[in-house]
Amino acid sequence: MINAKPTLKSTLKALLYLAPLLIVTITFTIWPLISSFLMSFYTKYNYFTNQVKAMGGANFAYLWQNPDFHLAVRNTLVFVIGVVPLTVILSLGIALLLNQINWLSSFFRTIYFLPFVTSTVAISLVWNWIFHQDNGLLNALLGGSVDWLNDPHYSLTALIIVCVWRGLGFNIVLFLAGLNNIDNHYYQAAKLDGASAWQQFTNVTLPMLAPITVLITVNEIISSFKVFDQIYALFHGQAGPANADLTMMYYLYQKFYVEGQYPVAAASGVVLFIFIVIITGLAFWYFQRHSIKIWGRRS
Amino acid sequence: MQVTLKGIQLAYDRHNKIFDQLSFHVQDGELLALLGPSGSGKSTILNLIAGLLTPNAGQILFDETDVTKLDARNRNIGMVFQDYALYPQLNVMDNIAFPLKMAHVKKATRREQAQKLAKLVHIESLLTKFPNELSGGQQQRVAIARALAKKPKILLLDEPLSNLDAGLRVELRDEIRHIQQVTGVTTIFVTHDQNDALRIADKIIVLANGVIQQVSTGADLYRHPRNLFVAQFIGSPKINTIPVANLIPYISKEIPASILTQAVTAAFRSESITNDPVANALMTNLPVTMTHQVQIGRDSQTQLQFENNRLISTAISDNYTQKIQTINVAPRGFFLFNDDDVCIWEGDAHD
Amino acid sequence: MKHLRQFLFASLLAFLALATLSACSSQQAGSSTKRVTITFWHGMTDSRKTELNHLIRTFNNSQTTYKVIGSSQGNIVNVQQKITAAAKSKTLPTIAQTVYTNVPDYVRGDIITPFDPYIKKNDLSDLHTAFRQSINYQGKAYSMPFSRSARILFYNKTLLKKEGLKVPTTWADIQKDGLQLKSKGITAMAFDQNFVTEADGLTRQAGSPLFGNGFDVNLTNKKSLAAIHVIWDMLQNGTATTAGTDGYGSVAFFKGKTLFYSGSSAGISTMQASTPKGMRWGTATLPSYQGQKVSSNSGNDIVMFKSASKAQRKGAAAFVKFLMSQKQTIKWAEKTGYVPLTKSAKSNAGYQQFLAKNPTAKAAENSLSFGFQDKPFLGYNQYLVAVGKSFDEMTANHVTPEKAMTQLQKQLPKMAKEQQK
Repeated sequence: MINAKPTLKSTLKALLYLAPLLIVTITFTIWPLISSFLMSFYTKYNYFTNQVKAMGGANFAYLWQNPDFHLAVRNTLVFVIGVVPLTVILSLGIALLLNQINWLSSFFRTIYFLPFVTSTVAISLVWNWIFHQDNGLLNALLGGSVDWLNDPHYSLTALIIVCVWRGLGFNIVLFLAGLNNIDNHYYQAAKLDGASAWQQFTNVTLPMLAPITVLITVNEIISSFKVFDQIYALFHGQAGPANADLTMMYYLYQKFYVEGQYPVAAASGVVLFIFIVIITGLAFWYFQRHSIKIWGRRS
Repeated sequence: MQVTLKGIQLAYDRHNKIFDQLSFHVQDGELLALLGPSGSGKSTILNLIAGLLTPNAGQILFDETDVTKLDARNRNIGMVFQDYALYPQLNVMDNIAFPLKMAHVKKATRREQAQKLAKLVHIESLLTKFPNELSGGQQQRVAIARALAKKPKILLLDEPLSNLDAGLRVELRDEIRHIQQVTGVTTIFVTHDQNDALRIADKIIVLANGVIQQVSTGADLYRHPRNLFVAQFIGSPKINTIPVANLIPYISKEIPASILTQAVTAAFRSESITNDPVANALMTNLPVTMTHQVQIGRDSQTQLQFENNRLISTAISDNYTQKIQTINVAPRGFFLFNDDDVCIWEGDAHD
Repeated sequence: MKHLRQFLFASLLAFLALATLSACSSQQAGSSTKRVTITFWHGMTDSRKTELNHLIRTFNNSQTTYKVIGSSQGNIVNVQQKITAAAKSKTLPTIAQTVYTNVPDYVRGDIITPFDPYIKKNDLSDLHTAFRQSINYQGKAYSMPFSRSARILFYNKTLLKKEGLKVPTTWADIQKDGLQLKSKGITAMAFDQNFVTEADGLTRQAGSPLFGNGFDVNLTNKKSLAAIHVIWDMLQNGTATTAGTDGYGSVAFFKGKTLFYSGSSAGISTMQASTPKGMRWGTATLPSYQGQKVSSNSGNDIVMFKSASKAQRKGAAAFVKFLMSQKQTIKWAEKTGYVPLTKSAKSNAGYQQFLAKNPTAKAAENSLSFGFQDKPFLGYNQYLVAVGKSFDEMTANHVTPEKAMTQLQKQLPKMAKEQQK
């Protein structure tokens, strides 16, 4: 019945159908979210006994004054600004090249996708060698003698390189899917309309890829904000030399697991969450505002 | 501009030739229809003319200029795609002005020209809308305006009407004819629908399996089909066909024996079948049974059964209550084809 | 399709059959013996895990009351994280291997219980002094030593001979050797990821230790700073290096880029396995400073959780005593490269034989008499992170010890106050 009106019975039935997923989501997503949000306000708290003796904003005040946290925020922002545009541009570029060649394209596709499915630890081992000051590949290629991983001036760059490289494969596959979805007629029309190869790229390829670009960008922003395991593996369980690669997520880890400052860790998690919400919110707001240019429709 | 295709050969690989020795000519300012069933190679011809495909052999001439190797961008061709291919991120104005933008025309001039074109195709009120806010017919008009924007010498239309509903189809069909006459641009349009072609084309090329069957006007194709394919493809309802062998007892002496011995298939149009006596009838007293009669608009169609063959007549008067038992076939609209399906005899060409 | 379905059906049957069988067998085991089960989380892997399992089996076979079930969590960090999670979900094991400096946190969280009621002071009298001191928190023995090691000096025999140098007895010797080697692009000393452990020892030798009595330390007095300068100066003038992301100084050591390496004795077996061809190395006790010798003992202890039943606690104590017994601790030491926990092990004939065959193990044994361990206190880990950061500043950013220690000293009151929460 298409015109059936919702009744108490039908609503209950619907709830019953939804129940498994709802229970899973509430237990594993909503409840931890709420409890860590609450924990961030516990100022006198015994984690093991779960006793809360006082609540307040002291943990946030602590973060506000804590130079390590400031460093973590700054490093995270630098990291995001370094990784996101590079990843998007590089993966788009490589996807375009792969789309041009037919020969061996699936071979290259696999090559680029491999890092995504390889364990972080294995990747870090390889990069440790590449970045090594004395006999590393990178220094051999550049002819320099940079201690990429132990010099605080370079270690964040090193981390950015590894993360960009790791993210490429997945984004290339997404871009290739996007490119495959562009109807060849648009290129033919543009060609007949007198568009050069570059003009075809800017007037057909780019606008048509806009939705997938938005997806990739937002996804990259979120995952870059949450970067942790690459740091842990690349710098031997440290946040880089002299905390040069201390990110917000690493700070959270350190406060929670190493220092046992559970409420401070929770508070830094809340701040990280707010950062991500604001930045992805801004991104979506921007894309919504310009949606007509991007998707060719008002939303 | 005149368009000439000479000895075009096109093959995707060695064994699958799409065209072999394809040649035809389009006059300047002519509206030419490429008519054929799907898979006949009509759209491929458009792509060859547009420069989106390059032939393996042969020449394409615009007037006297050989453009076979010329890039699509430089052929000065306007093309309307079956799915319109409007840029979704651009509004109507920018879509129409796009070719001008590519040609680095100033913005003010672009807008002015786009407005003029919009007026020509009656979409001046839609200039700020985006493609996905438009109906199919409106998108079609935008696509035509865009194709005309850089004042092309040749306009190509690929199945321009096939995505439209019946009413719009008729309207836009006439619109295309109107626009073509106003602009005087040499126009080639591809269709699988004979009505579109017959209605507006100056000249029709009938195509089947990559081979040109006949090039002529619509009337000529109907009256003088060169072969069985054309006879069957043109005309509605479809022409009646029966093996000559089945008809021998009823065929009149009008047809010379020399012809009859070569003839394999007889075809006769529905309007040639009547139950009234006909002067110079080519076949008389064919025993039939009437199975069905329907009124379609102005016409009435009568379905008859002759031996194992089903015949359709539009010349039997409607509301005919009496059971018909025999029919006669008039000379006009009667054709005989040999075993190569070539027409060897036309009923009314021998008076 | 049909084959697939048949296959699935067959596997389901097989699975059910197996499940029933295993259910039967476990029931049998349970009903026939009625042993008290003691669960034990540890961080041992590979050969050490095999050896530990062997010890557990020996214990299980030695009596009929208890049954220890060991479960490796991959590494000590994982054990720690798992304890943090299990404390919440109330799924803690009976005992676990952990860093003894976690004890104050666990006591505060009220999740562990002391061994005192089950293990008499007398039973511990043979343990090395450093071990006996480290397990003591607020007057109670909250942990029992298990996998312990000592910091020792590794030296490149070939290089030493080539340069005509001797095994150093003081830090000044190393400084001197460094100047001689510098022109050859070889450092005198390599440290692990950072030099906190060595600085800990040096400041202790100087009489003003980095890790003293909780947050009540004086980091900026002259003695302490001079001790840190011993290493910092070497790092600055290029006669010593830290391993950084190499993790261990043994990497540089094996490349022949350093003459000495200060590392943990627990690494000996791994190092023996990865020694490059043609290289010969030896071990010695760490050199003295200000006429004193010390060696930092590190490693892991066993703690017992409050959630365990009385019978389990008794069993756990019995198991731990078994592990600390002369025979077992020597066996454990011989197989794993950890040190024997008891003083009398040294005079054990079997162990002496072992040392004669394995001269590299001598240095660690000899270090135990002057071994030390940081006193555990609430906030130790937080302090350790802060110290690590300060030392990183000194290494990576060339900040002077004076500046780094002054900054660290300033943070102490605040850190101490946070622990009151």
